[in-house]
Amino acid sequence: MKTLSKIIKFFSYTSFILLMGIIIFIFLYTVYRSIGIINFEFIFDSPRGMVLGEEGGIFPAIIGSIWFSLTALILAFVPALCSAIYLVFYLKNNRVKTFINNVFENVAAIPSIIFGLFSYAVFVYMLGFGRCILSAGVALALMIFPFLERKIEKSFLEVDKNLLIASYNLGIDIRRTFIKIVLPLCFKEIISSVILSLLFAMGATAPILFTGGVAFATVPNSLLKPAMALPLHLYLMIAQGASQINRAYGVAAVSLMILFIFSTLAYCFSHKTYKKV
Amino acid sequence: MKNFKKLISILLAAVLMANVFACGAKTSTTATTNTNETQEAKKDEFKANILFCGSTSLYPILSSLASSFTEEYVTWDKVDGSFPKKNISIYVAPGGSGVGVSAAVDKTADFGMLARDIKDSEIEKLGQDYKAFVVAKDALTVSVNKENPIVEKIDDMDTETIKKIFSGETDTWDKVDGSLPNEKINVYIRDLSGGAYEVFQNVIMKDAQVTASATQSASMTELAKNIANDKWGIGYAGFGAYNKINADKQVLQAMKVDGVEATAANVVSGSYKVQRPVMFVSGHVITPSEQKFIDYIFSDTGKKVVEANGYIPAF
Amino acid sequence: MNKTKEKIFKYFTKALTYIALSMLLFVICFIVKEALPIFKVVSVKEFILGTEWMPIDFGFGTKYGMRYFILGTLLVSLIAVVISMFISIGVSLFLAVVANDKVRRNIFPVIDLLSGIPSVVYGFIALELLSPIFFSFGVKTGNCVLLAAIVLSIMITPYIVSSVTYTFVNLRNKYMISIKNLGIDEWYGMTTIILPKSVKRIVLSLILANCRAMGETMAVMMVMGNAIVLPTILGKGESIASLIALEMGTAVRESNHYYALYAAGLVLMATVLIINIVLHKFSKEST
Repeated sequence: MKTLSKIIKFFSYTSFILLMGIIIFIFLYTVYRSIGIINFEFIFDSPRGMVLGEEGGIFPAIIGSIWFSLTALILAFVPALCSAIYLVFYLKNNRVKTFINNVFENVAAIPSIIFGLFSYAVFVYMLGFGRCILSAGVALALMIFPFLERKIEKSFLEVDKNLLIASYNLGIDIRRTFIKIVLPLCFKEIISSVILSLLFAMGATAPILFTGGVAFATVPNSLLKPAMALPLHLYLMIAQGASQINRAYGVAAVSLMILFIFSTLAYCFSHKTYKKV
Repeated sequence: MKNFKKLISILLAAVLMANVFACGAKTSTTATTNTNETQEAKKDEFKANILFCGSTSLYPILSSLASSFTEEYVTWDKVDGSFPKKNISIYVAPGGSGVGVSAAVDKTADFGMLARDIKDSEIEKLGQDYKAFVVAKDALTVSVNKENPIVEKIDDMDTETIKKIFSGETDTWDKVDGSLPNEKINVYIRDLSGGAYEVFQNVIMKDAQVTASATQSASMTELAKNIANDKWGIGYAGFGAYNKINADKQVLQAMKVDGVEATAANVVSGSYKVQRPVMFVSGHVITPSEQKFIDYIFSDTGKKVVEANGYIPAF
Repeated sequence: MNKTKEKIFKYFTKALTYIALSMLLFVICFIVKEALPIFKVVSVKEFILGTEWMPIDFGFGTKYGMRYFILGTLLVSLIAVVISMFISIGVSLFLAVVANDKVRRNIFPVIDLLSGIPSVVYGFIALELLSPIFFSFGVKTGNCVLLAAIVLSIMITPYIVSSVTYTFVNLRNKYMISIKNLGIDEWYGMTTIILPKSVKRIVLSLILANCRAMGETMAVMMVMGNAIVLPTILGKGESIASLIALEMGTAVRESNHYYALYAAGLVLMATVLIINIVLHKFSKEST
């Protein structure tokens, strides 16, 4: 009994330290390797050089990434919010509810590259949008929609049922109950889910590979034009080989910094999310 | 402390919302300006945006040129006084030769980039305004590791020998030359997605298939590295990758193919046969603005960029 | 007035729910539609079980056999799940036993950082740091299925940890008082009483994580070696998602190659859907 519990204790501590170590290592190592690479020019200049990326910076890629993920978010947020409201507060038919839930959950498990394929065939080609931020945004929106909907729905479900019942009994309809009671209670969590899904979209490469991500573009100024994106730029730099490796660390470090800043933001908003666990 | 936290969260929320609204507003305004732009474009037939799409071999060259072109001129009127004052937008989308041709055919891109010969069926699909611009030549070297004793014995292989090695018929080095040790030959190739596979198949292998035990590499850089790491390896490293990996210290040795050495001169003259064109094609009448950029590609700057990326300029 | 507003609100949300739903269903139908033409060229059986993949005709005809890709996908995701299982259970035990609510609340966002790291960054770091280690141990070129699995296992760990910890904490709150009263050591109690009770939940979360692992594209593509051979742990392999990402560029639109890649996507999607449906049945029976 003593030995078993000792082994388990040791195993548990080791895995925890290992995981934390990996996280810290990935961040610190990347940042360490990018020292001397990241400077004002690197962040605020366009990529340049005989072999693109050897000189200059990654500004168009940073802005491009923000465009891609914001487009996806704008496309996905309203439907996700409405679906969550409808599923939680209105829909009473259990079979329909199970069906919709099943579809959403299954779509959440669909590999992201498939959304890229879909958008490539439908938006880029059939509807004639061409390779542009919008086409890629659709693919990303499809990818983050189930994620966002689930998170918002979960925060609605955590609202105290008695509050809702009391409100209904007072003759207040669902709409006003939602606006006056549910929304203020869930607001922080909705914001945090929004930030997390933004990050999710920002890190994706596969869906934008054929739909709107390009190797070179200037800072985007329209939804109907293609743009650069951070993860895609990094991928292309790696594919080009050795001369780019140090600068590739710079790109990786910038993506990680963006991730870190936004995650911290999301954390500030979501004291409740982790309380339940 | 609590109040402070609250303040921060309110501030952040405000910033975020402002961002979302600002961008929302921005997208709607830009969407309208864009439609205006397209209408204008139709009116005076001026093309401010050019989109290249396709081969992973050509995109680094064109990306680099697009970048320096945009940087140098910024707006079209600086390129040529008769052009309107519009921002230069040149996009280069990597994909692959197949996507490049498809995109040029169905006009989702202005130019398709290819790293192989164009097929007759594709020329037909591109229509009567078909035009091809060969930017560079890429050669495949038949390379072995410098440590391999074969380097001392032979510097030349004929097509038949190479074919037998790559098809797996000749599977040990002593079968290539009696004095070599009885070591297994490890073959390195590119994956199907690069045009190299196709070129090697058409020029060398013809009716034979590459052995299934060949190791595929995702890029030419990786392929060259793999042969450099394997004393008993052989593979078709690209010309650029071969020179790059040999830059500090020679680790690979290219064989002559049918007596012809893989040099830039032999590739351009066509006497070295394991080579492919790196080009872009279009199926429409070239507009004046496009022509300006094409002139820029075929300038001295273009030549330098082609060389810096490891290809042989074809002009 | 309020009644009309309420009605508008209700129908607006309802409409958007169904629009979203039909869009998602449309995606699924569309992939099926784009995949179907390939089955005029090869039979479904040959497509799934065939071992040869040669979508471009060099004079030997074309062959569309997905077996090695399917096996590669399954193998890499299974190894990843097994590796991740050990770490996740260890970490979850730590979070359930050692950490209190406050610590957990602060640790979870840190672990969640892992799920936010772009997969290209994972692939890049693995290529830079782990691949040379594998190479020095005699793995040809350094890239192999095991390396891809290790990278994947780190990527899916946050998902497993969050759900397993949840189960552990709930059960612990339920049983810990009696365990303590019996004078049993806390760790011993965790392992012998609570762990066996959570097996079902753990398996569920592992399967879900497995689905995620199967669809991961970029990181796997960068380090798995991508060769169309029977995948082995220290050998190369290629996953379905990598196949699509790698070859989509070569495929000319509306060619058989193009349809075959959609069909590959369909196979991947179908596998994930089947696992999901079975999982739902399983989880219903267990509750």
